[in-house]
Amino acid sequence: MQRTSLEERIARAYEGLAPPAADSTEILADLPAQEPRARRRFWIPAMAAALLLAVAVWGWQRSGNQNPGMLGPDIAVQLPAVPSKAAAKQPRGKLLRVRLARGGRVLVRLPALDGEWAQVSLKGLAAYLGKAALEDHPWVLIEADRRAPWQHLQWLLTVCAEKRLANTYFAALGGDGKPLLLDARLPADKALVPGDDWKIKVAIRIVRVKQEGFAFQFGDRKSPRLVQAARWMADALRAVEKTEVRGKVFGEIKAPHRTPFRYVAAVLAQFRRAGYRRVDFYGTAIPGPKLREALQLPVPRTDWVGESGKSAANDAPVKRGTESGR
Amino acid sequence: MAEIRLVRAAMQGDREAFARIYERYARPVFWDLVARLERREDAEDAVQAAFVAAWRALPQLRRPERFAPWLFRIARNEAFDLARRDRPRLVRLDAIREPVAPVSPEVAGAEAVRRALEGVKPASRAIVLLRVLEGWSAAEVAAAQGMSVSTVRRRYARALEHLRRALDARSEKNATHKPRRAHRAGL
Repeated sequence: MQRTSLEERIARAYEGLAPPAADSTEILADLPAQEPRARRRFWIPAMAAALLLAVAVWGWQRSGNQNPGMLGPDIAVQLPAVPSKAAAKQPRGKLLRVRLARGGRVLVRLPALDGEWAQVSLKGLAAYLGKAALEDHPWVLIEADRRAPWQHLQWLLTVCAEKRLANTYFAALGGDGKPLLLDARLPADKALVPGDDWKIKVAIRIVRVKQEGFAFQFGDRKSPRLVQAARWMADALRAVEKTEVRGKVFGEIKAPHRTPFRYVAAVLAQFRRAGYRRVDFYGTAIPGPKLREALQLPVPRTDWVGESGKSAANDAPVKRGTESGR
Repeated sequence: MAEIRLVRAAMQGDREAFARIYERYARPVFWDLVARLERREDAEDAVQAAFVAAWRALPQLRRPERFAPWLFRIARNEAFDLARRDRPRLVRLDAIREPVAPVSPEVAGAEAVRRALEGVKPASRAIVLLRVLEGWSAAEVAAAQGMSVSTVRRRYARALEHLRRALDARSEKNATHKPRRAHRAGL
């Protein structure tokens, strides 16, 4: 191969560094014994089997696994069956456990079925709850899969509200049974009798939760960070307190119906850390056409039209039947 | 004997076959390590250690046709291990940057070329050394380095271009410095 002048310069530059001619006698004298050939490992079949197993498990879960044991106590929502706040502090009736699976199916653990989990329709659940509410005043514990669509949980809550099971308020509990979130309320709550101290004076912001993740909109500011939202929330709360606005601070949360419940729960947790004690759900809590068709429920009032960025104290309408308070 | 036969024989414990492999690959491996290490002494030590390690592990080699990249990989691992060890440094006098005595233009030019080549990535520097000093084709370098032939050609061309520019810049700098010195001397 003909070298160029530049290549010649390179060769001259490194010729002084060249090692002596390779002489194998020295290295042959130092060669140790070779390692025996190891048995061929079956790592490829093992990895393939593991991959197939992972795909199978993923597909099984993806297809709407209905095994109650797989759901886990991610989020639990307790619905007291008594209408008054004072009586709602401790369950006095029996506990009815309802599980909401990822695919939207509802499972109920009924004493009549020896404690086995049974899949029920919303209509059947509504009928059962209506009867049970009259007889036993049960507490309903809804265990929602964290991946369950928010709308499905809303349907469940709405059914409970229609049967006067959720006519005070509900709290979401963590897996350890301790309260994880804050008290919350559905606008479908019809059993409440509004009083003077339940009127809403101040609404601060509207939080929108996007279904793809933690990115959400907080008022007129956008941020992908929940921690930032929590800080803004706390700032807004302090600002309200500084202006000595009389009344109750009230926050709202709005989420598309397909939003996984865990995102809603995470935002609720931020509300709580920011000092809020209660958050109302509105708008998307309207029962969907499937639920209306199944239950023939009247559409609850949806006259709340608050928008982000508006002066909440002046623009926020007072919604009948909604409790406020921190 | 074809390389693949040498490798298979060495895998069976044939020391003579391994000696032929050593004679064939000792210098290329050395240049590859020189391109990646700061000190030539480390490269020399690493070559010896690499071939001993390769000999011990040869029965485990699954694809004898991929012997060259396997050997280069072992050599690099050995080199990095050696470089990490804390041991007294032995420095060649001609590797000292600041000359203690006037150097000839040839030595200064060689030093300039080496310095200029230090400006390219070690992998590209290894390609240059293997092609220029060992006369390897792009395909041979690609097989040893585990790259595609087009990547080797591209990196080689870029390295030479970088070297050319660096040397031109250096010669221009020297040309501008000389009159200034003369001017100062005249003052």
